[in-house]
Amino acid sequence: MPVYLDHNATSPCRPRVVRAMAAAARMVGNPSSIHRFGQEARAAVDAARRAVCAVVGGPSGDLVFTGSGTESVHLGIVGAGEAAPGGRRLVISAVEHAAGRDSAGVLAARGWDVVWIPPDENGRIDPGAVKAALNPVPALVSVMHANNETGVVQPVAEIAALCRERGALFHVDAVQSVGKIPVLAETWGADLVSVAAHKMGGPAGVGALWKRRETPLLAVVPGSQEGGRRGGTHALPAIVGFGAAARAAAAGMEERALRITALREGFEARVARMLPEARVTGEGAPRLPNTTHLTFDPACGADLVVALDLEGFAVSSGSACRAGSAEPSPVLLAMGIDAARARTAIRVSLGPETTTDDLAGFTDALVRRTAATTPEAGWNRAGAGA
Amino acid sequence: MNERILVAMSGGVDSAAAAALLVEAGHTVVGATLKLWCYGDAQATPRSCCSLRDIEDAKASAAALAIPHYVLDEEAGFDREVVTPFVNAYLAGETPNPCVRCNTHLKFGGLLRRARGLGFDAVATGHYARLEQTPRGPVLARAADRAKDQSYVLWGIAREDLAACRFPLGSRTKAQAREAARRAGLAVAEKRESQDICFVPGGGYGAFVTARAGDAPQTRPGEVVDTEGRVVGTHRGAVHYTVGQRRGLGVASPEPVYVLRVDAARNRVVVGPRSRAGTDTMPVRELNWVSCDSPVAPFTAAVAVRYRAAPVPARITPSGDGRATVSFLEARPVASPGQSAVFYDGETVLGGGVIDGNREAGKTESSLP
Repeated sequence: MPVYLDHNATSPCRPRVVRAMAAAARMVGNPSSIHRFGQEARAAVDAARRAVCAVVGGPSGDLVFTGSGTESVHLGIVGAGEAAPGGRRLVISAVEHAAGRDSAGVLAARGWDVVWIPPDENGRIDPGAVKAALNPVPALVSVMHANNETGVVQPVAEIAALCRERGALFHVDAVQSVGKIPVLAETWGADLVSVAAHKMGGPAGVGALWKRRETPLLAVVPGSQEGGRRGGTHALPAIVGFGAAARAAAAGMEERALRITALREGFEARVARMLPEARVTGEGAPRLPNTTHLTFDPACGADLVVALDLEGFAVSSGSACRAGSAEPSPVLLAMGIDAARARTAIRVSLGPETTTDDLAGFTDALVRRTAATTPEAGWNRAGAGA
Repeated sequence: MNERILVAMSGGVDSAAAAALLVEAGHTVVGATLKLWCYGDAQATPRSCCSLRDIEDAKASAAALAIPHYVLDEEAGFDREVVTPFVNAYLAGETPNPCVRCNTHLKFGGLLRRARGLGFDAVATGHYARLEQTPRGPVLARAADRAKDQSYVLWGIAREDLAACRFPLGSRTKAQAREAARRAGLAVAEKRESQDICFVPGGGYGAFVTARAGDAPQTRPGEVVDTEGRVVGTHRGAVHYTVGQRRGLGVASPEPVYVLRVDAARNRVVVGPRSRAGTDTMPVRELNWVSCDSPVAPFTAAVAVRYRAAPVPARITPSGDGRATVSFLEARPVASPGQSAVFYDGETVLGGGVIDGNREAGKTESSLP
């Protein structure tokens, strides 16, 4: 049975989520309908809304359901940016997920002034660098909570305080961190927080944008649903599944994070011992409990993801959205990692069911493959076969 | 014997059928599609062999066969080894064959290296050609279905790599390939064949070169001259013409005229009658011997000077620097510089090379005492 170590791409639905979704799939009503079928469906949506609000640390805020994490980030940057009272200026980190980068591109195409904040060599955004970019005051600042590729966690509370002081809206992409580590929208003082269900044991195809009650927001998809902020009939089973996943993720999060962190640290120690030339990206920064991002000597990192999959270990070359491309990740380039090394990157992301044995087997495979994919080894084999 | 085989799946019916036949034969089969060009490009059409649509077709075929499938990025290598030399050849007055370079450098060069790194025994493609076992090792041979034979575009495979190549369609007809795809339930079984060069869908090679090469003089109008140097017309730019071409010259003449030479340096196209279009002798460069040791002495073989052309007998005189002079013994074929000269011994492809444009230099060399 292949070992799944790509939970940052998507995580398997928890059994209780599947049960909740199956029940919701049998419900009839449109949550926007007046009749009692509609009322029942509306109650299910609102229960899910409360559960998701709780897991993002924002019981007092508004939550807008969207069709994905990417849509939520887009709404949080473009929808909030266009509604914000400030000038047409966006300050955004250079290590955002493509959802954030591309949304910034949309605003740039509309004539916005977009300021990119580069990370340090560990992938961290320095709050001081953000502060320096807050003059003139931007309409919106966007910095992700945890990077999807490296797992590096950003000082969002400090950045939120700076934004508040200057009167800029602050959006946080917490799609990768929600359910893994505490997301504390209200404690941080963030204005907008994007999350998705499928990274924490819920279904793909549903995301949400949390916002403070008073934060302005323009719909990107027009329609009457979600208070006019996101049109489209509610995807009831997906939303109910999101709620169930949020409740499950909130329960025992700390215990789970500690256990997975210990697994990851054991794995990284083993890698350091057996593959001294491998480097853990962002090693000096706080990271998600479940994410190890590795780069190798360019001479021995060819086709690693394919080779490992053929050996029964599913990892990613970075972001799942970049699969099939040899273009180095812009996140890694922004961190100053050279392109040749960046092309060797693999992301190992653990889940609640990952075991020590999985990781021991994986490390052995990694050692075998990084030795086997040197060009010399290929030619020796060619010589032996001729 | 069960082998671990990586199948290069283009998204077309042939490579999908090749994969299906290998699965049927009990091999451990994995599919790979080389991402070469224009992925996600708005200009990509369903007919171009490297469009997103084709990658999806390849993935669908692999899924139907229940084999793993991977997209391997070779865009940089494709640009370096195929597209840039293609443009440069046109600018030098040649008519290149990019599929030959793609097979040599990407499908069998680079992919085979990567396949070995991944622990595979062999790489298979949907080409119509055969691998024949002889006491002296494997040799490359024509396909059983002569109408589909693609051995002409495979002469560049390194001899030491030939043993690791598999051509499951080599002894089959196109109809049998489609039947194999149908039997496996593949949606591409009825898919139409691509005829264009994959990165120039629609076939406007001159326009492509013009777009890539910017304002090179060879892309601008110039003079059409006859063999006496008299100006007989104007042309759209030397990159649009091929030796042997008859149509679209815009020259008024009582008898049909052909392009005899493309003088890229002076952006001139030389035309003349059919009797002057054929050649007795031509220099060939970049030789590769796929099925035999490099010959040192002159020998006689049948030489094909273009895809699907019948090979004609010739004397081949190697000059030891990856070059040779080919002297035709009977027919005087029209040889376009940049195309491949492929040497056949009966059904066997001995090797091949690129027809060199510098005919004058070839003559001088061979006429030296």
